[in-house]
Amino acid sequence: MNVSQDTLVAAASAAALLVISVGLLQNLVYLAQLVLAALALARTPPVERTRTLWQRYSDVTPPVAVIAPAYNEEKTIVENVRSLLALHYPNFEVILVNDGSTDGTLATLIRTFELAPVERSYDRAVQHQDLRGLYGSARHPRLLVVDKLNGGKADALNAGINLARSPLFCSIDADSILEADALLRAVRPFIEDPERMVAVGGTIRIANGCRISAGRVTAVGIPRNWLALFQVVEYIRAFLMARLAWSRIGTLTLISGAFGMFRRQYAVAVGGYSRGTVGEDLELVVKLHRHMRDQGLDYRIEFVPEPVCWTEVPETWRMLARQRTRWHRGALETFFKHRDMLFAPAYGRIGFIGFGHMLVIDVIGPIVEVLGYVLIPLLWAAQLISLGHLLAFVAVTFVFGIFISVCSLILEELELKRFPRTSHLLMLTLAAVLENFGYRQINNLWRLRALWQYLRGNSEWGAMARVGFSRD
Amino acid sequence: MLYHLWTASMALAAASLLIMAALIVARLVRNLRERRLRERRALLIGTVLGWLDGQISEQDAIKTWRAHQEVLVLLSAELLSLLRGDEHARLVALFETCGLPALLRRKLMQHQRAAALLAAENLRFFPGPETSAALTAALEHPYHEVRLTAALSLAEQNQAPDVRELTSRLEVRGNVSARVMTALFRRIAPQQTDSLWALCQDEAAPPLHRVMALDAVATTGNYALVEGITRVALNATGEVAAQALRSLGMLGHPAARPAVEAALASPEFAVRVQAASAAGRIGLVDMADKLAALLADDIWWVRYRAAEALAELGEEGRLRLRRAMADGQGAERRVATLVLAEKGLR
Repeated sequence: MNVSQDTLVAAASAAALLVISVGLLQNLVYLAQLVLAALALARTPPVERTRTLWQRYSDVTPPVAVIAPAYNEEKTIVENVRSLLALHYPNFEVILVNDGSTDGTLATLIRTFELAPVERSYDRAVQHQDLRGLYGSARHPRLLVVDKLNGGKADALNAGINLARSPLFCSIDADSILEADALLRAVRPFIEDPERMVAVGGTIRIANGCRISAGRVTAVGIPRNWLALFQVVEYIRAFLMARLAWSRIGTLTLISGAFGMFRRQYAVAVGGYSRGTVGEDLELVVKLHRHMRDQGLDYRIEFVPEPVCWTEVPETWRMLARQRTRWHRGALETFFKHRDMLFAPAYGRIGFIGFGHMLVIDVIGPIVEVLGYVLIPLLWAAQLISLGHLLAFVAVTFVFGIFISVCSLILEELELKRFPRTSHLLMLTLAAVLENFGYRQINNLWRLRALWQYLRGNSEWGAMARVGFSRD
Repeated sequence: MLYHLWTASMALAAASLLIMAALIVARLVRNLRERRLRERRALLIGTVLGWLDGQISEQDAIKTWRAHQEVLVLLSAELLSLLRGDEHARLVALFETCGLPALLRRKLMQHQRAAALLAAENLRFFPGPETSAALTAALEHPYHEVRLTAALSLAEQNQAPDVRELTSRLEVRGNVSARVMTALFRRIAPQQTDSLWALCQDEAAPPLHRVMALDAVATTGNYALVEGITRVALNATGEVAAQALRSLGMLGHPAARPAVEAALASPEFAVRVQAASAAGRIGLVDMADKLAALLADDIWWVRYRAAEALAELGEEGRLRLRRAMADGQGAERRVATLVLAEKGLR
């Protein structure tokens, strides 16, 4: 072997080690999350029955405004609003924000709920597009429909925040289904730590494959579509493992836009949701962390696994690609917008763990992993790296992936047991193995596409065609 | 090292799959047990209904329930919550004959959180000296949910200890929130008005305790307290003053006028908000000009509550709102216009 060959081997080995190290670092982060999530679940009080919660808290629950932005949801809006109005909570208001829909969303609402124009004094605390009108109904006093010029989801949520008069608001997607007791469960941390609690996120679960009747999930099932099934495993990993773990150590940076409860005064203090972004949910939480730490305030932002919101996920590659690209672009936008928080001592754990996690998992991770898929087999085939390098790469990408996914299922089964049938568990275990061969890699490609779009300054949302819940 | 990574990952993945396989088997067993539990529940419910209708004898009912006491513990609160009057009393008596309260008292003292919690909740249906003693002892339980539930059950049976003792015993280990304590204070307010009132006036007590006590005494609707709460509102600051005004608004007695009038000019916006609301709820028409002045306050909540109060004051208040709508500027005009429209008064 001559000198240039030695140099080539050394360079190849160094490149392979870099890829393996980043993969290993990612897995160590997941492993830490797994341990923290297991500890959190072990110390979480038993899931109490709704009746117990009602008996204990109904006298003292603070009022909540449920803000649901809607855009072109004519087909599903009536059932979704009915489902929201049927929530079990002593004192709540539903603020449905029609964000300049171009279909018959507003007309359908007016006709079905017998809405009439109303006026309401409100605080213009955060920015949004002009309102076109407010509508209320004598038959549904809890419902306020806001009609406004189109401005995007963040803009619509801001309008809802301004019109809300309660100390807490809950942001949800109009096409999601909240479990009847979700507000009661989500509000619990605000009741138990009213001084410090700023925001609470709940679990999002996948409704594809479940039986839906009258706007409620009446029987939990699993999707028949493999793409949706992979997402079930992914959501369990994201919520039951990642968010619970970061919540436990006070570094939760994401509360899903599909279901989160916030203290209005602090959301207003940070200017509400940032308009013109695609990751407005992540950015709001990061802004809250920044604000509270800048002000030197003692605060908590928590994830609680029990309040559940059901959502429909894409069942086609095209729709999923759009969604994931958008999500990742949102993460990158937030990361780079608040990059001064990365490793900044002033932001403590948020700067080191929260932003460090985003750097490793969202920014560097996908690039290095995709590089690895191309580079490592080629280098091994060219005999520039050893079999050990190849096996180590397979270990950190595929095999550890199986371990992490199956462990998150183990947590789910040990603590929550949400899937009623043994056959569900078998299918999910299979999905947890198979998702590492193909699905994971394609996800990384979407992340790279998101990076490319971000660098080119693309901030489009892209359309999300809903197939609609299969209902009884 | 690289080969170790491979071996370790394979071992971990295999171990996780083995554990999952064991859990799937455990789930099979569990599903079978749950099916049996559902069958027993159905049997017990059927027995209750049959016994209430006179189709099943008391001896047979007792025999069935004694055979399935663990299921009965889970089911008893549900059944007792559904029934009222004579049927409720008969069922309580029968459960006592079955020995359910004694079983619940034993479970209450266990360190198993779920069982103790269920027992603390269910014992509220079985008042008596032994239950009171057990629930009082449970105020020292290691889990705060159990302590709190025991306190709520004691309050329901009018057996709660004095408010100061209760506060210190519940808070001694932390974890009990102000909002939950507020619910408890409200429940004991009818029996312990004097103790709560003493706490309201105690300037050495933690402000949060005074706030909760002020809220609770207002729920009794006792006008004899108006004068005292007015004094508290005049002398206190911050959250205590704001709560005193809120309580005066809840009581709705015009004797609160001096405190409301002074608070409308408070430098603290939270106090001005509560004063404006109280003026409206009490119907202090002579405060209309002062409320009208607050329509131009810097804080939206003060402007809004002042406008709402003016709308509640009848023609005198509405006149001020219409005047602000016609002649006012900026925020003052906007809040007057929108509140008049909102209340259908424009």
